[in-house]
Amino acid sequence: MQHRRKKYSTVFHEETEKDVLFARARKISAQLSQKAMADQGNGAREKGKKRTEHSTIAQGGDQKGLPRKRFYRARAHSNPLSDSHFPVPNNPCECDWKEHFPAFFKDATGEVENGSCATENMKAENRSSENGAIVPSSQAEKLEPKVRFADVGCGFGGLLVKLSVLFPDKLMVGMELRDKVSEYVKERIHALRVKHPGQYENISCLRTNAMKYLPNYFEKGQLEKMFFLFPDPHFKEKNHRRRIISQTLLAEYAYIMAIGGIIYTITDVEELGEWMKSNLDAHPLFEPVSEDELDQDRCVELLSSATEEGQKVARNSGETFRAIYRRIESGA
Amino acid sequence: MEDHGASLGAGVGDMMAPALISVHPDGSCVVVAIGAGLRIFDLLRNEQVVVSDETVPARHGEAIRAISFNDKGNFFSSAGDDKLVKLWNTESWSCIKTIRLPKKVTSVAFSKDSKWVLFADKFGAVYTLPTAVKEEKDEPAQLLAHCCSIITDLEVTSEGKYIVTSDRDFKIRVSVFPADPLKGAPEIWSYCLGHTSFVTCTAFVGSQTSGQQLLVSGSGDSTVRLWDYKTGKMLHVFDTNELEAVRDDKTVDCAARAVIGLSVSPDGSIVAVLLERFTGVLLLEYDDLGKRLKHLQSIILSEHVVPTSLAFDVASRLWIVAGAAESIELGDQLVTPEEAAAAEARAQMTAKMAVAHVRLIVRCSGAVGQDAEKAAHYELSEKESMLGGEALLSTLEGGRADSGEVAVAAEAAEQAMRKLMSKRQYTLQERENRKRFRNDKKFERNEV
Repeated sequence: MQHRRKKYSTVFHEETEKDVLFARARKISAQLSQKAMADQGNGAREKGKKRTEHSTIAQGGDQKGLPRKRFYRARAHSNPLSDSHFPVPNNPCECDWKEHFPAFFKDATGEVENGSCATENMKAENRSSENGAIVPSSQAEKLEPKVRFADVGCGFGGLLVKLSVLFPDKLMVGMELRDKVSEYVKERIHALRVKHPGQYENISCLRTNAMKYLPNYFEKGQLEKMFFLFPDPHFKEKNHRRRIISQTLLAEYAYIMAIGGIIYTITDVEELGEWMKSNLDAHPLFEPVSEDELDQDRCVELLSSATEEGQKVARNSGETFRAIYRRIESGA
Repeated sequence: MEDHGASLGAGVGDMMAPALISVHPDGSCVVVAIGAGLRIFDLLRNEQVVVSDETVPARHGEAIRAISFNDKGNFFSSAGDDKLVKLWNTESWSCIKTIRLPKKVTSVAFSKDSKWVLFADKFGAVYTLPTAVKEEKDEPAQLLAHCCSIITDLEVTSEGKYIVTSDRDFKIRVSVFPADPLKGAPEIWSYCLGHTSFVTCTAFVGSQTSGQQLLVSGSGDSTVRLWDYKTGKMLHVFDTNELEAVRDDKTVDCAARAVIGLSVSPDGSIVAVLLERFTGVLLLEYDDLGKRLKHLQSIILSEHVVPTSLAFDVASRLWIVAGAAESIELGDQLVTPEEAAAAEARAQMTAKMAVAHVRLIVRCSGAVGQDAEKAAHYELSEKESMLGGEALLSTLEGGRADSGEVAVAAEAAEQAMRKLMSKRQYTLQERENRKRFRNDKKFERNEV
């Protein structure tokens, strides 16, 4: 029964046409108990509200004011190699971070008079790039805050929420391929911002494929920290190319990371742990971070405790394997 | 899933491979690759070159997709859908190496010191192989990889420091050429991002000696863009749709034409551009001071034929080929060597039968009047007075070609390219249908 209910809650979010919804609801009502049906009805109603009226949800619906994960269940895996059909910015200057971090960009324009102007200039240049030459303004770069941390495959966003409090002045973004899960993280962040005014303004979530589009979002040397927590293990050898850590992808991570930036990986699968470690070891632009430094690092303990996946492993008292490396300058 | 796959299945267009042309760096010979066959004409001796190949397998079994000479001209490489890379010695025209790769090859290039041959495949990986002949068997080493995106072009910058790869996902990547290519190229120097469709080809403009070369790229968004590849900065966008010659071309379809070929004159000042469904060549002039591209001339071919490939030679003559050959897919079904041999023979036969048009555009030195601007002027060479004459045409064209036939073949090849490069768009209906076959929905279907 439990299993079945999960399935139906997924269905509810995927079908949009009303009659399909009603047909399903009728079928369910015939099959499920009264209590279960009440649950489903709740789900369907909540879904309708969710997108439009954040504040109502924040007050009612759920006591905590946070979106409920059960209504955002998605398949555990998504094919990272398939063609994507979501919009992706053409290059980093086309990313609209203002939308993601309104508080930060408001500050920038409020404090510095030129700030807004420089931003406008950049926008104008982008427009002109359609039919003419562009001249990037270095001024705008200085004034506009930039995303410095990226959590690749952020899942339900547990790490982002914890990190937000630890580093309140760093912008950080979670990247998630599964639409519904990224939707959940966005709702969660929104609810947190409403509930704790002034906090959680520095985190956001993107629905994107990090394997394909990282350079579309970040410039060379932009990121200070990258997190890869409990990635999909892809056991079959045929599927190893789908693993998020590989020689070729590390080249891309090295490109978007600042010299001295740190890459954090953790997994509960021993085989994958060894794979990530050996790949990082083999890459000439990364070196392991010493144990002493790890003890000082506030992020390290969050790796296994902050995320939902990490908590699950801890509950089952499973073992975790981490590999933490620093981006170094090229020797050549 | 099977039924869905079938609906997308291979039409005739999928199996057409465009003819390619390449000219020896000293201008001594011209190579046309059509289907699985290579047609080589020696301009000095004025005769056809017969190649010798003692490697295994001795001939290409499927369409050749990439050909290239190295800068010195002592090596030539051909590769294609049969997943073979062949390296030729151009003095004796004998094959010195044949390597089989796991995936179909899309592009070939040489390092500037000619010690390495680089090739890119449909899986997004770039491999390298030393050109020197050794006793032991060579294994290609992987240099870099784009994440599961077809690499459309591969170039090495003139100073030899960077590898430029362009892909179907709108990206141009500039990687540092490694000190030891056998250990891979792990360092990415920059990305040139800005194209709004697949990138098809790249080349370099500006004088080689100045060390100030810039990158030009052509794309499915019908623009040619100019880049500073060291910073990834886009300097100029030239939209071919704005040209009258392109708009007025008689073909009915007005949809954006993809740029399908680029070649830069040896002095780095003229960029010749081929467009999809456009029966001519655009010549753009590169303005070194303003860092811009401007339209110089449009040359329309007399036959109503869309060129498929082009190449400048050392004397600034522009060689153009139009045509395509049917590419016979061997797939992975072949089991016996006899079958493979039969398929290869068939491919060679098709290639031999395939016809192409070869044309030459020459620079006219005679300035018209006093007008300095008219000084640089290009003209289509008459068939009768063409360099190499009748012998060249019969070697490279492979028979008296009816222009209708060539036009149809070339068009099919273009369609095949577009189909391969563009993302498939599904309607909402199709998506819904597809969901029904997902594993996690089966349970529900059975219940109904």
